[in-house]
Amino acid sequence: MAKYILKRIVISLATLLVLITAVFFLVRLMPGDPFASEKMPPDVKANLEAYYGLDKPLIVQYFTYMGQLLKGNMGYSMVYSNKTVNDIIAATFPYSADLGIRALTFAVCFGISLGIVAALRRGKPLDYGCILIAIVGTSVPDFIMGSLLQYFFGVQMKLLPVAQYTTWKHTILPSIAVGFYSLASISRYMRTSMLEVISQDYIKTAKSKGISNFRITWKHQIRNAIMPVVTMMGPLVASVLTGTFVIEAMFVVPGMGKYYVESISTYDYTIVLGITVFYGAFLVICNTVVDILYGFIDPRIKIAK
Amino acid sequence: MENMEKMENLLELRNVTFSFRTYGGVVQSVRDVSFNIKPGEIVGIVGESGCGKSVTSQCILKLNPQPPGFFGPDSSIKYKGEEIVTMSDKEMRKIRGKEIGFIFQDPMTSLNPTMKVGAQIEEIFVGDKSISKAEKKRRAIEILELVGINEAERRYNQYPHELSGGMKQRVMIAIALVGRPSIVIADEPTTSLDVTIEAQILDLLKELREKLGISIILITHDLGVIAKLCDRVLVMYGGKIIEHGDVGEIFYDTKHPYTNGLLNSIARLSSSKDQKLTPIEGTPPDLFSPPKGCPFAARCEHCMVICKEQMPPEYEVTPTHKSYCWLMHPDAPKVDLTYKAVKEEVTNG
Repeated sequence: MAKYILKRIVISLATLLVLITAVFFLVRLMPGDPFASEKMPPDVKANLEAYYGLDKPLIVQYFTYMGQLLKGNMGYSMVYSNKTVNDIIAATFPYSADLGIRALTFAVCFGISLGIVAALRRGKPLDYGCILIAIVGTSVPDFIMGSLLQYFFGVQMKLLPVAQYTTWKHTILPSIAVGFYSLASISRYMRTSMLEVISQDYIKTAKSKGISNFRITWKHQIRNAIMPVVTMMGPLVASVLTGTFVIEAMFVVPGMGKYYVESISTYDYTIVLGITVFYGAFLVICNTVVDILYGFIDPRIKIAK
Repeated sequence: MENMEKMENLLELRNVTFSFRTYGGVVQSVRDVSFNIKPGEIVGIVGESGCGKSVTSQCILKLNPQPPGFFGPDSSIKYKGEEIVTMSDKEMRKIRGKEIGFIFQDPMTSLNPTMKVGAQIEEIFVGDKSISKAEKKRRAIEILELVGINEAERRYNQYPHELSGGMKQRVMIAIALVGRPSIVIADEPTTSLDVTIEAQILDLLKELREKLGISIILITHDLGVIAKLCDRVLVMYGGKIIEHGDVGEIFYDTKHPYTNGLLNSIARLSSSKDQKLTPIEGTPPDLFSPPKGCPFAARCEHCMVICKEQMPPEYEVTPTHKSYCWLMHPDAPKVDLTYKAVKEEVTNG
């Protein structure tokens, strides 16, 4: 197991290195630069470039950046003067993470339950209800879902606040808006997986032992059906986290999304890089955790070190 | 023989009909099947794929999904005098595993991959508060040893993927036996195993019968397996039993052309290299609309006009040997259906 984990970690680090390198050079390929402005006097621009080290050859900049990154320093923002990328992430990430975790919890809990219920009531109205939810969830984009939620629950029924992110009440609508797509795909996946397992031979073996249907469903069917859904969790975390950007703007959540989107149009190289590296690292960690977790859930993987 | 007749039947099937509703119509998988199982005997059910032997065996424990499956109106399955067909699921659970055990065909897929072997065996006792946890474990290990698994204590804590195919089938047998049933149904228990393991498993079944006095219903398409293990044979074709009798009677004094066809199509060590096997021409009948006459008529080389018109009645060869074939009628031409090579082989070994 230790060897397996070590191997996963080495692969993760390699992935990150490729990601950082690619983004570093790609950002510089964009036409324009952070200080391109008609009003900017050339000598001031030259000063600024010298200050941020942009006057040096690209390859030197790359190694300087990597060296600083190893120390955990992601540099100063080129647009927000006096703010480091580390500061910006530290101030905004907790909000994005909070929203992401709530959305994910919502999606996983309801998605798996819906999938199970649909499979157990296959071909009955409840099943069609679940399929409807899944279709709506996968086909309606999150910003439309967000505005529908705002309109019905906020404006029409006046049940929940539509903006800000302060009390738990404020978190409900954005969490649903972000998590709904994932909920739909989890429930569909879980339903299919459940139906696949129910026709397996070992379910018949379980039945031949004279144990209750409840136990067959719980111990044999769900236990085996949930495994492919766990594999899906890694990429899902990705979609939920990146999915928060638009919703953050709609619900005025002070998260990271705003900076990420803005930084690209303002050529804020350090922020683009910083947030990408941060998200990248986060995702790679999520995937690695899922891989390791999978080893605990499926006994067959533990053996294949 | 007289004594055998008087012994009480453990299991009695009477006019069992079982069909499945599908999009294409109703498939009549089992048609009017009747037979008895006595204590301690091994009965083989033989027939080609799709002849209804597996469905028949699963009917006994009501393992076929209902719906789409359903019993015909006159079907009766009595276990120790109790009617199974009308039993509720809750009552069935007391029969499954405890009174009648079931060994499935493919040990590779019939064990839950995420559950330890020991837990899968002990599951029979779930909800039985009269047995302590330690006792359940003791019984599971005892049964593992009985079915010939070495290091039972270690295997108890292993997952199915850590065992070989033969060992998995032994675990399946252990699961079928741990509840101390009086009948074990083995649905092609050796089909997915290689020949050496097959021989071991068959020996094990025979040994268990002697040790535990259980009855075994053995489903197979292999007459060699039948000859090795069984006391009696039921030959099924097109959802019906077309001949049944003691093993010797079926092999030495075959009274149905289909049984003869099955015997003809077995490969033998004694046969020469360029001697071709004789397959039965044609395919089994379509069970969506089974023929009104004998199901084998379309493939039978001795087919007569009446065969296609009317299902033959039961003809008694001996009190234990019955055949459903018009050739048994006094007016029919005399045909010797016994396969000679079989006679020699059975006598020699």
